[in-house]
Amino acid sequence: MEKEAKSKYANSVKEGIKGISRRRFLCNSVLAAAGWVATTAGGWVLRPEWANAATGPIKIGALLPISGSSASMGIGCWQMMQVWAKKVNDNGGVLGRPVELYIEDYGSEIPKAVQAARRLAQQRGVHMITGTFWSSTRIAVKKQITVRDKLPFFYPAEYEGGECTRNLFCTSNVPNHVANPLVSHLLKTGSKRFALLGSDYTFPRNFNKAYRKILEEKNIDIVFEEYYPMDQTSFASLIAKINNEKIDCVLSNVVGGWLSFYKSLFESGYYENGGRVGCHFMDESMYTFVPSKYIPGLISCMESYLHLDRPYNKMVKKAYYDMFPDTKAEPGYAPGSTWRGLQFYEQAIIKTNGDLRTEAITEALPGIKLKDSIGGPAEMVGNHCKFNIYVARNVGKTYEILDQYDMVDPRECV
Amino acid sequence: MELVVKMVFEILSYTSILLIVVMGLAVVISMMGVFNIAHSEFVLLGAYVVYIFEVWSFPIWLGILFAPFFVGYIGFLIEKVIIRRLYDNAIIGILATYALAIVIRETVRALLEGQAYSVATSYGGSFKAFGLYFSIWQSVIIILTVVMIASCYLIFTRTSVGLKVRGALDNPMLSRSSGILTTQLYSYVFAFGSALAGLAGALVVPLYGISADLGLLFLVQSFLSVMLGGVGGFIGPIFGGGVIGSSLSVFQWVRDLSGLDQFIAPVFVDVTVFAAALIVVKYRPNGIFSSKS
Amino acid sequence: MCLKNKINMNKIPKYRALPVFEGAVFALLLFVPLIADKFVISSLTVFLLLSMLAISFELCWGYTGILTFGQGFFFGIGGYVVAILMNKAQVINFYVLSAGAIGIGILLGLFFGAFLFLGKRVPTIIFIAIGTMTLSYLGERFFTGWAWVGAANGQTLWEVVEVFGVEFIPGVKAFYVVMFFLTIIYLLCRFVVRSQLGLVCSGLRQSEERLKFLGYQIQVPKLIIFTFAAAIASFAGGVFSLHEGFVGPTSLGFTFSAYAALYCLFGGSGTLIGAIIGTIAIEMARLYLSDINMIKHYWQIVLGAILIVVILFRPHGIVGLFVGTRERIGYFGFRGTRKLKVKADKYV
Repeated sequence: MEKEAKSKYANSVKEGIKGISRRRFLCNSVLAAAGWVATTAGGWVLRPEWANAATGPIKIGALLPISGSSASMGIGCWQMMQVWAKKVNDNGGVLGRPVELYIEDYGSEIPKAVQAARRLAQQRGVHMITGTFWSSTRIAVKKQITVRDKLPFFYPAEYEGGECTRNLFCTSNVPNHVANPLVSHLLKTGSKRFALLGSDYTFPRNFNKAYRKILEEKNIDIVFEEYYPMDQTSFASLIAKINNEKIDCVLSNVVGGWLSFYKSLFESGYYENGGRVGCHFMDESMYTFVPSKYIPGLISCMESYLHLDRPYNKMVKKAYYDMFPDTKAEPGYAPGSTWRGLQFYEQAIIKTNGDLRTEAITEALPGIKLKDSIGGPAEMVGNHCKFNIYVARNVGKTYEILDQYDMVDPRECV
Repeated sequence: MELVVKMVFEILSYTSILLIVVMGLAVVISMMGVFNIAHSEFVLLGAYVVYIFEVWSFPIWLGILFAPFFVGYIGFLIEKVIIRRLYDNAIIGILATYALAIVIRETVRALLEGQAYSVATSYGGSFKAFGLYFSIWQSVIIILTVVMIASCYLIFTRTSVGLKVRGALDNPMLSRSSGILTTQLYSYVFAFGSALAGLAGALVVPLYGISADLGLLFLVQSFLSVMLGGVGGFIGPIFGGGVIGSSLSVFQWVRDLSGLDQFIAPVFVDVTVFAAALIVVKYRPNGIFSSKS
Repeated sequence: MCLKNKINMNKIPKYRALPVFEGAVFALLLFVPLIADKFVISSLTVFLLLSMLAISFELCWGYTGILTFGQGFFFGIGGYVVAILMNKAQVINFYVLSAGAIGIGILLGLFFGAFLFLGKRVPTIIFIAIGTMTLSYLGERFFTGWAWVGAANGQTLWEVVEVFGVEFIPGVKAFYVVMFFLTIIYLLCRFVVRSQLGLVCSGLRQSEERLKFLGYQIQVPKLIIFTFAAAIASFAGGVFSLHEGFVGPTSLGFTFSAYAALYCLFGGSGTLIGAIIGTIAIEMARLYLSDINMIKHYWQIVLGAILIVVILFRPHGIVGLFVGTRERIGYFGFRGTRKLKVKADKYV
């Protein structure tokens, strides 16, 4: 069955991609190998071979940055979507209808993202859109998608919370998920003098606000709180301050210039003096950006990790690497969250008995429970998700799970 | 006291890199009047060379050695094809080099497949001196910069090539009539400027990692340094780079340590320094040390 | 310039190509929505707004010799003012919003223009270029750090605004509204550049020294044109943010400024219609180049390479292919351009 499906994909590929003579364009080869067909109207379509089903395919739009500065995140999510689509189509689709994927690359440029969203809705006629990472991109496109084109929008990235727009569903963590587990663990294991750091935009500030709330409830003093521009390259004065003030726990949400920050922190002897770092969003997929040796013993807190020892995670990981054996993009938290969102969408369609209208889907989603997903079961509450939260520590090549909190409630938009 | 030592070290380290970039830019602007916006992308190319050496498991120090020559050669080719058409028209020069910068940056982005990577992590680590930790690599950079500046100065003032360059800088017409092949000289000078940028990129990549947007970190800083310091001389760009580099660092430290950090966000550091630089340039249009009036 | 393109006396065209060109472009734009789909229409509307940005650059550079990389800044500021008025002051009256955008453009144009142009010494072109480039760069950084206007997240514009009784949402109606504004702005600019002020600016473009010796305070017309251009850019930015429903720090950044320059260069500097043609050409290229499978991931490189080639070999752009230099330089004055044409022939 697998081989048949693959050769059928290959045939449609041959039909669709005439004129590409240079196989060394890696991305195109990957797309072709996975069965993506280039449409004459532009964009890419993943069409299952039985696309002639009577009620027509379910069209899902991927609004992802495949090129540009955020490409590293986009490629993983897009590949994960393909793995999911194949799995669903191999099992007869959703309620007998095949799933068709449409990709629009917005090249990490915000104005292009709005245009790409418009295109997915108006020219490709998709029923749902998933994608974008930075909050600025999400905010730029949300009116276009949820109001003007009136489509459900699944946002896979973790973010600062507060997004209560109708038809917009967030499938990854927010501060209310991770603040308590992370801070409690740090306090439990002996940290006393805290510094809150971050890059200067809403995401770091909101997470730090949540951390501050918990620390203040426990009457712990925060020695200082600082924010730096995204393109900051030199953190020397900050690190001198950290060492001078004898900080023993840095709660970091530094994103811009993080390599320089963690490297300088490491070289300043901070860890030798017993210091620790807590950064909730670090996972194995970030090792290429910040090498593990610069963040020894870093405590992180997410809803899933790459090497999590659960059958469901392993199943998805295997399917991912089967389809993309040479990929450099790892199935980190964002691809996992994209998968989760797709699962919710599938369940919503089943619940509405095939009614793909946005109003129906939006009504159906809250309350849906996933028996199992990446990282554990999940439940849609409002437009955010309840799921397991893990506290983990960086130990060289992987993250060792230290604590598990089951089905944490995000308490968003109540 | 130790804070002062750390601060001085940091200023030296940050300013060193900027100086290498600025010197390369200044020499191109002074001689040929081309405001090469693509100059900061040569920094990116130098960084990329070192990254490739690491990917192919060649010794990194070899990559750092090779980078300036490779980028210099690329600069040489680019000069022959594109830059030499821009000499009579500085404005078209700005726009053409802007488009060139896009081409270089996006080519590297495509080669990196849009990713960012940390490079030469084995070059990290610190040593202890006077009870303080200092980054090994940053110390190397400072030393190398001093060596570079000294060698450039010696080449500029003590060699016959340097004499020709000074002559062509001062009075191109006269030098041509004296038999100096200015077109050939321009090619070599442009290549030299690009090589300097490539060297800066190679040296800085263990600190910042490589991503396609690396060059953009130096763009405005280098231009303002050249404008501030003045074109046509040796002292000018060094002064300009030194002022901009140290102002940015010092301001940051002042902010952190004086308790003003609550009132002044870090982003205001650049805004203030650059606005100040612009104001100075407005009233001293040729920069503070200029050999051209 | 005249030496290079010596006009053969026997070959002076009997009709003027430029108005024909202008007419053709506008006519084409008027009819496109009747045959295109909604996505193309929405995209084209955005391109028209970007053309206004290009026109503002063209006024400065093509007509007055001011190389400004700051038009993006005014564009973004206009967008921010509209967003702030709408979100913080609940203003949804289009006239108030556009007055706000235009007003901020004039204010900031005067302020920065005064800094850049006025003073004892005449600023060099490079100083203006780098100065305005720094303005865009600093503007973007400043707004990225300013929490009140949304910092890096920018602002969403949720309300729907009514313009001339039509809801301003992307679509055919919005297209014609923007077309209307573009025509007004175009005619206004054409009027200005053909006026006496335009004549002075043209002289500035050719040779500042000469004009100085003729006794002109050359910085004043520069400041006027700069402010006027800033107002146009801000207005365009305001309407742009209403159309897209969003404004952010990247809206004020250097990218928009640089693209304004590239649009004009590509279309043909020295003519207003060149700005429009260049914008539409480059933006269409951006849209459709990224679809071609072979170069899908490399279209930016291809675009950059095309721009380099155009800049080096065809500095007069697309318009330069069709319209002679004499026409591009322009005619001035109100009465009987035919009279002027006859006079000019003698000296050319």
